[in-house]
Amino acid sequence: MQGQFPEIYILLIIGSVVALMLITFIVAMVILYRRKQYSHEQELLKTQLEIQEHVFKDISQEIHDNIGQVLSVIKLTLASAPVGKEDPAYEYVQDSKTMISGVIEDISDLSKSLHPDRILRLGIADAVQFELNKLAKIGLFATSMKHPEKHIVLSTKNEIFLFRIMQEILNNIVKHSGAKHINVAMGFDGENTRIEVKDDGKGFDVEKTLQKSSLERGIGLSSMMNRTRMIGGVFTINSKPGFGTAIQIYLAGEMNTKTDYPNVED
Amino acid sequence: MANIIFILVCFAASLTNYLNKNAPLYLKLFPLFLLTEVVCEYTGLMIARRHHSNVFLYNMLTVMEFGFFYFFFYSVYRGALVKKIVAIITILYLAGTLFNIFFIQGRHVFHTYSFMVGCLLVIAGSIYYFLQMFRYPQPGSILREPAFWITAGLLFYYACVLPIYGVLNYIASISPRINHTLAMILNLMVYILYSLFTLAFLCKVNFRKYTSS
Repeated sequence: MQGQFPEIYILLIIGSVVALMLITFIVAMVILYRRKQYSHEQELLKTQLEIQEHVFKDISQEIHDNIGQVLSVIKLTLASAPVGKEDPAYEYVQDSKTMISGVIEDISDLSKSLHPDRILRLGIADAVQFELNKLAKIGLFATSMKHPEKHIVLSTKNEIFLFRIMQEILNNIVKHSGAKHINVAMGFDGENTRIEVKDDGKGFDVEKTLQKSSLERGIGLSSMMNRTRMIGGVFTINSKPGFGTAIQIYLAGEMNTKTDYPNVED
Repeated sequence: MANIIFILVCFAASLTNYLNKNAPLYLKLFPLFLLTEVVCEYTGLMIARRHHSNVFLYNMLTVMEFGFFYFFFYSVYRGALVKKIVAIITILYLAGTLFNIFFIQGRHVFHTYSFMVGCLLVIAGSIYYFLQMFRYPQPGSILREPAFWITAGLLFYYACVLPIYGVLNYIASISPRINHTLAMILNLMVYILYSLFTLAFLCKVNFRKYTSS
């Protein structure tokens, strides 16, 4: 029996070493694989967003150059139509002109919202203000915006991504919140640019919504979170049923005292 | 005997593969493979108890094992070219090993040469699987991927037993005591291998679905 002790020791040592190596190997694999998965997802998302921006740009160009032009021609044609005030068709022509003017204005706004170059030219604050004005024009929401005199300086890509996030937030408010007031505040706390969007809508249970599968909760929320993460920001939501929603985005960026805007080219 | 118990537990776990209709073919073939292992191990044990040589049986068993593991790699690899290479290597290896067993080392000696080549091929195959895993990351946790556990088990087992089996015939002839110790180490490796295989079969099973609330 005593002669067996060394063998047991050898077995124990070898077993422990192998088990330790195996555990280390599996843990290392899991960590490395998660990192790889994350960078792969980020790359995919980046490509998706770049493609989306290209598509937006093309659509915006098409609306501006083609549809907008055709509608303007129709409006001019109607204006030059030989229809006198006593003519029974006069009323209809005037109504059509008014409707076409409305459509031209709407698609011009849409074209402006979609075009990334315009967003860069305006800067994030004015581009968001434009979106809020559009909502206010519908008459369903009272909007307000506070932002410092200084210009928020972000890289071209970050500025476009941030604007798309803001568009998604406003879109969600319109679709789901039932709010009457929308307040946007932009500021700089010395290190980060802070953007806050508040509404007085019906709110929602954040925990529950985040726990739902991506299919159930839709792509809006995860898309906003992923986009914010991609530009190195932090995205937080505070909401309770019946108490409205407040969304904060923190971004590493600075306020610039310059009045001129950054170049459109990155 | 403990080996057989580990393989039997693994066999029972492998039957869960039939619960999933979409399970890949290699997982559905695993129970048959393990059943063959149990039968061979038991037969080998019986032969040894009667003081006859069971080397030929184990020679054939290891040929079958390598064939199955290469089929596993063939199933989990992506890309037609890689699969083609694995298929060619498998055919060449099996033909070479049978030639070695019957004409070079002999039927009653363990086929150490071809076994070592087989081990190296499994190790290379496992490393390639991990490289492929990092090249084409998939959504979800790898801990719920049966191929990950199977490959981890194969890599560890064959990396550890390669040097032992390489000198098995030599050591067996010089010291029965060292031979006994090595056999114990080999058994330990077998326990680890089949434990990882068991994990592979159970990692995808949704236990909540099968327990009453």
